[in-house]
Amino acid sequence: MSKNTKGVIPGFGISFGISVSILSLIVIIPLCSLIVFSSQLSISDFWEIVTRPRVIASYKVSLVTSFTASVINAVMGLIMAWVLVRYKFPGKRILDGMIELPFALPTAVAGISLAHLTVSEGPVGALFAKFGIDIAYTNIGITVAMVFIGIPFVVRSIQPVLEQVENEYEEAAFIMGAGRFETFYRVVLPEIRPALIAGFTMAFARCLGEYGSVVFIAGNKPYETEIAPLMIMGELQEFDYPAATSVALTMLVMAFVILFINAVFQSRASAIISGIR
Amino acid sequence: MTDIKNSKLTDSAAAGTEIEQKLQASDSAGQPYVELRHINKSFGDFKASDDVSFTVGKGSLVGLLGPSGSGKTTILRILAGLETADSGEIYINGKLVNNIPANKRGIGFVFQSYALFRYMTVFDNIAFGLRTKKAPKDEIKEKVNSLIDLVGLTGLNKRYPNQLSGGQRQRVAFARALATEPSLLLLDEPFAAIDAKVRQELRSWLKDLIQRVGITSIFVTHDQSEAIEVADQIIITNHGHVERSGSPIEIYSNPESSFVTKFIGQPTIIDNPGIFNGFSKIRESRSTAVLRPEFISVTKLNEPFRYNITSETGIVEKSFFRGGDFELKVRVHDQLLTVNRPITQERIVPGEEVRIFIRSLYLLDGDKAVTVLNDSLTAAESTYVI
Repeated sequence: MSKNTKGVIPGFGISFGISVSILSLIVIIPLCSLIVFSSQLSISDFWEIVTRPRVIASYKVSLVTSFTASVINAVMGLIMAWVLVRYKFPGKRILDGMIELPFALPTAVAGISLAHLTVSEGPVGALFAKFGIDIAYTNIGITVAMVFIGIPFVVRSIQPVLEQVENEYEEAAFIMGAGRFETFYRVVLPEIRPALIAGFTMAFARCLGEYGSVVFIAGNKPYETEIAPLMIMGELQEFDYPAATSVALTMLVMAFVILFINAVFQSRASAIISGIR
Repeated sequence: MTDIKNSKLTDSAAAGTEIEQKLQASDSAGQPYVELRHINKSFGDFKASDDVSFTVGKGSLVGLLGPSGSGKTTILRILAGLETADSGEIYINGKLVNNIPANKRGIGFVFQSYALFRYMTVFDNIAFGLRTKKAPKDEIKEKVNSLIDLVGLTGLNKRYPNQLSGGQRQRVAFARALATEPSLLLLDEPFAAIDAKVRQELRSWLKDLIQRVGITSIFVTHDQSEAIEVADQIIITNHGHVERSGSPIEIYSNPESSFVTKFIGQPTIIDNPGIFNGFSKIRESRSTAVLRPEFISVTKLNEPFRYNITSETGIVEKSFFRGGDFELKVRVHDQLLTVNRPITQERIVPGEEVRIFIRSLYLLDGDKAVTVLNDSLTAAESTYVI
């Protein structure tokens, strides 16, 4: 970053300028406007809006379902990444390409098709209905939608890191007497843990904010299956912008805290790897 | 194996000698400790091991030497249990180990890249094997600390591998491999990842340490100077089979096979050696021979020389400064010979005509190589000296 060292491709000044401008335009200014809108309210009004029982219930639904979905994604994503990195099989390229589909699909399309599948008359829903389990219009349904949209984050963060984990690590552990589980738990997992946490938190943050795919399957029963973004939508439809931005700001803080915890962890891990302490 | 495991190190300073005594107590002198019998291994069409058989004595330090792709690492991996041989038997301490998996074989392995666990401290890396064996905590602590002292890394317990220099990492890898008191230590190109200056120092350090600990060790290298300097016994591999085995001096001074002659030392291959003065007894004009710089002396034309009749004159084409001496490329009978000239003697410059005296050469005869001395140095009746 220092001006004294000349890289092969010069232009720190202009590229840094562009980075800051873009970041300001698309991230910082919109986020600041949230604060500006919310600040039309007094602190007590703000607090009242963001702590209404119905809103609190929606935070709970959002946090619980997002967390559950991200845990499921972390486990499933790890397995998928493992399969894609470690084994050769026909159709591997296709499977690899399909990981990104949830990114490409409009979320509403995903939501509608998931809802259609999982209602008690739907092909999947009917199966579970026999055991008395409802998927659509419950928190389970919300979690299913969130698993769908969150999986690429985990797979794509672990995959490149897993490719770097050399076979020799496992062989070294094996020769020193470790079994399969111990080798994975003590040798492989620490190597991919930073990537796993990064994937988990990205998926978690994304699930918290997900709206399109969730609303169709959630049923949106007040106090039960209303997610926090839906509350924001509700306020907007009543043209209560300060209220909507207040809830949004609260969610922003939550997302920020999650990503911050991740950043702290990542910097600790990279300090170990880069040898600077 | 079990009696070694149960005993523990009491004093860090005495660590080396204690292991030494322990191993000597269970010594069965004279018998081969490691034995490979007719090992074959193929990867697809590639034959990595071709009827490999050799024995290693207890406590010896063996160097597996060969060009890259000659199958030396495969032999090491088969010994460790990381690869399975297609056929053949492996005996360690008299016991057939073919069907014992790597994690039960009790072998220490130092990988070329060391494979240190990056998210573990030096202490945890070395303690890994002891923890998998569920050794008591205070025993682990004592043992690991004594090993850290043994390899000279005192005070670096809490460092992570990436905070260490290449040489320090190698020491950690070495200590880690020794922690479980293995019956056999295998090292894959142990010095390849280290810069030249430190490498020299680590070679003698490793040799010294292995001798102190007294553990039977086999290391793989493609660097002949490393094998010659470090090993008690060298096994030379080529195209998956064992070409020659013996002490470094034996192999260097009597390479026997054509391949070893062309591989060891600093060989110059010449055609039709019979045309050189002093070697007219070699009649076959299509024969080839191998010369080493130490077989040839070079003198200025004005310097007095004893064997004038059986010497040659040649033109110096190039001169490379090698520190202690100059390496000269001299053209004689349209062939380029490599000779060394000490820096302390009068300088010879490119373009100069010099006198060349070839003391002896290795005449290649099929797979064999025989030493032929210059006529001036042999009695008239005996021409071939083997």
